[in-house]
Amino acid sequence: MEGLTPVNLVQFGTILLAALVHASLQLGLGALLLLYHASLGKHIKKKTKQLASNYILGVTLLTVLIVSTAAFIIGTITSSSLSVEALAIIVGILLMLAIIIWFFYYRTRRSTELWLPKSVARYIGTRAKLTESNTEAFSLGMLSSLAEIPFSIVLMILAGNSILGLPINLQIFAVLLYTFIAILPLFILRFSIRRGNTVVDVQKWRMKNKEFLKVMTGVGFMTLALFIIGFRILGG
Amino acid sequence: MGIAKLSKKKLHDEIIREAKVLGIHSGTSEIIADKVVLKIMKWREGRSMITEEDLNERLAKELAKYNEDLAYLFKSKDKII
Repeated sequence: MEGLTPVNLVQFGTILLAALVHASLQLGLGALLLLYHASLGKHIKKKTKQLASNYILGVTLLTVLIVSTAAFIIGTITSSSLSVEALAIIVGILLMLAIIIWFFYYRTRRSTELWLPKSVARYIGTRAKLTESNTEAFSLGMLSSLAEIPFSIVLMILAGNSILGLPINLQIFAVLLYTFIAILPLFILRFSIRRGNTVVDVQKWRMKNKEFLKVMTGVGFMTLALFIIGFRILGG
Repeated sequence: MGIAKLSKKKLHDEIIREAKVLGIHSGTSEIIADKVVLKIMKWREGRSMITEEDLNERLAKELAKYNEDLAYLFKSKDKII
C-alpha cells in the first residue's frame, strides 16, 4: 500500500467493504451446497470436487466480468467516476437493501430459504440435481450469481466506480481482490467439505447462524452507505 | 408442495442416495432403507393422497430412529435456498 494517496485508500476501502458485503450474501453458497448434496449422492468424491471447482470458476468469471463492465461503462459514460448525485442514489439503494435484508431476506424462520421466487429457487435446485458435467457446473455458478444480482449489482457498481479512481496499474489487482473476497465463502465451504464436514454439518451451521448472518449483512450494507456518505459525498 | 408419487423402489433408492451423501456404509444404508420403506408403506395405507412435505416429514421421523443426519437431509429438503 506504500505510495497510495488518501483518495486511493478510500477507493480501496469502498472495494473491500463492498466485497465483504457481497461475500455475506447466501445464494451462491446455498447453490453450491445443493450441488454438493446432489453430486455426492451420485458421483465419486473426485467428480464432485471437479464440479464444485467449476461452479466456483463460473461465479468468479461472472463477478470479474460484471465488475470490469461496470467500471468500463461508468468510465465511458462519465469520463471519470460517478457524480455525487449518482452516489446519493446508490446510498439510498444500499439503505433500502439493508432494510430488505433485515426483514425479507429469509422466507421463513424455520429454514434458510431465501427471498427468491419459488420458481427460480426450484429451477436452481433442479439444475443442481441435473448437473453432470463441468460445463453445467460452470453454468450453474453463473446462474446463481445472476440470480443474486438484485442484491449484488449495486455493490459491483460501487466497486467498479472505485476501481476507476485507482492508478491504472492497480485496477486489475482491485478487480481480482474484490472477486477473491466475494467468492471466499465458496472456497471455505469447499475446504470444509474436504476436511470431512458433511452437507448436513454445513446446513446446520447456516441454520444456527442465519439470524446473525442476516443482521451482519444488513449492517454491512448500512456501513457501506455511511462510508460513501462520509468519504465520497461529504468528504468529496 | 406437490402430491407425492410413492414407489417402493424410488423411495429406497432415494434413501440410499442420501445416505451416500453422508458417507454411510452401503450395507448399513441398505438395512436402514429396507426398514424405513416398510414403515412408510404401512403409514401410507389408508391415505388417499399425501403431499411431498408430509412424506419428507414422515421419512425424517422414521430415519431419525437410525441416523439423525440422514433424517435432517429429508427434513431440510428443498429448504436450502
